[in-house]
Amino acid sequence: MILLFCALGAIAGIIAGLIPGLHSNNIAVLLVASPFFGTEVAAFMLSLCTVQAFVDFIPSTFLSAPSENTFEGVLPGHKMLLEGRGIEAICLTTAGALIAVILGSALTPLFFIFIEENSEQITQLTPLVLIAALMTFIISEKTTKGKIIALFVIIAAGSQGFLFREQVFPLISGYFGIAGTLYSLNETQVQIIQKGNITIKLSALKDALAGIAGGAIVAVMPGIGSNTAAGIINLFKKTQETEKYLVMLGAINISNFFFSFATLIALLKARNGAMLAIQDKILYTENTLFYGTIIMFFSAGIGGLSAIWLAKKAAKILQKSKTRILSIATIILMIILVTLFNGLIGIIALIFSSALGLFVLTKKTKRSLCMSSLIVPTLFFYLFILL
Amino acid sequence: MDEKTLSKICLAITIIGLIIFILTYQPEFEEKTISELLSKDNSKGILFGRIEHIIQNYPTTIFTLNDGNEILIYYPKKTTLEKGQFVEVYAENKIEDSNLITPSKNKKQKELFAQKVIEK
Repeated sequence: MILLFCALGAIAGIIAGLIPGLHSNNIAVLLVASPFFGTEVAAFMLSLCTVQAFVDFIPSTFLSAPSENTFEGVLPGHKMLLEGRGIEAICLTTAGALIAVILGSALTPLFFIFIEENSEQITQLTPLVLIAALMTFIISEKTTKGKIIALFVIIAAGSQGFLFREQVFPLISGYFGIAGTLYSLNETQVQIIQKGNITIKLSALKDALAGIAGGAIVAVMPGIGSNTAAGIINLFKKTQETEKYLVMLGAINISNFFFSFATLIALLKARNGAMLAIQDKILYTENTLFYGTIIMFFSAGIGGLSAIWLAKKAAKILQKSKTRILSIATIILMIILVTLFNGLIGIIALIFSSALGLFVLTKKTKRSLCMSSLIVPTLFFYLFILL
Repeated sequence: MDEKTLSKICLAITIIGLIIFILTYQPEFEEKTISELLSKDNSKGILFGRIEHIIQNYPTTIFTLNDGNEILIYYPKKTTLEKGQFVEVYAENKIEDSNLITPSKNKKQKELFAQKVIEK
């Protein structure tokens, strides 16, 4: 019975991963309202999240359509797609995620003990990490003009974050999806032949370790998402190759779920929508963490296989269509999805965020600055509860 | 490493994970009676019965359940349970949590800790 729920969760994860804007949180809400209870619910949800963490990168890479967990990967993923390396981009995120799954499973018990003993200190540390990240965004700009632009973007994105608090999908679609697609419309009129033979450099895989650290940050610091963690880690690196970045993002995305689950069991506190859904639906026994980790482990294998297979299919479809048409179709798709999921307020948020995203691109400043729309409100939240 | 190797690793992870799960998984909560649960410390089980009395609903819930035998149950959440309702209780006979409700002097009073109570 549990394996049946795992299979259903995997199917739901593939669907949720392929549809931009359909987050596991949306399904989690339905699950909370359902009469289902026990290990089956946990199996379904954990399987869903794990598989979605792999498949999520397909729309980000092939359509430039971001999700809450992958928007930082849109630019590097799409860049590789334009070089005919779309399948490789997916293989890199998959490889990063697989390393994180293997190491994450082993580290989960240690993480569980650590989080049980240090939860209060971590909460106090969170605003300092966020302030440091924002400061580094500005300082890392080389010119005074660049610093002023960075400050402006932080204020503008932060204000949008406050103004459109429940509109994460329209905001990220604007910053990282529509803005980028509009900007590259004139450059992408050619048909892109996607390379079939993939070779992943083993040296790129080392960055999965940084990704695991990022996943731990996301799991212990509420309000910090996978992309924010990627951005913070990125600030401490001198150079960031596209391949290594995708490996890291894949690792963050999946290890986040392993560690969030350990956090739920240790502190009874949910760090994301998926964990919130299973918080009141599972039984807490000495084996819950073990079974949950194993379910996520084998679901990761299914997620990896699905992502690679779907990437090949997506590449074939892409080769048959002109990217300009595909880009326009993607913009229309994002507008439709925002209208469906977020309504009129979502469309307003989408317009403002697209404008800011385009500004960032034309000024050739860091796109990660747009993450301030998530960081600034989170920072104020922490300052409010701590002061 | 190419994508075929990556796919093989994925397949291996799926198979290894499934084997570990199938070999180790044991349902921890099985249907039991109150007397079965009380006979062994730290045992767990799903009880089905009727609520005889509600002692409190808020901030935690304490009630007596009858499945032929009667037992006091502590559930650490507020509920809207009512007397006479049939419920399914995911209960534990925890040593460390014994006497959560009753004074320590009254050690003869048996009680169980509920992880979940589902109205039927």
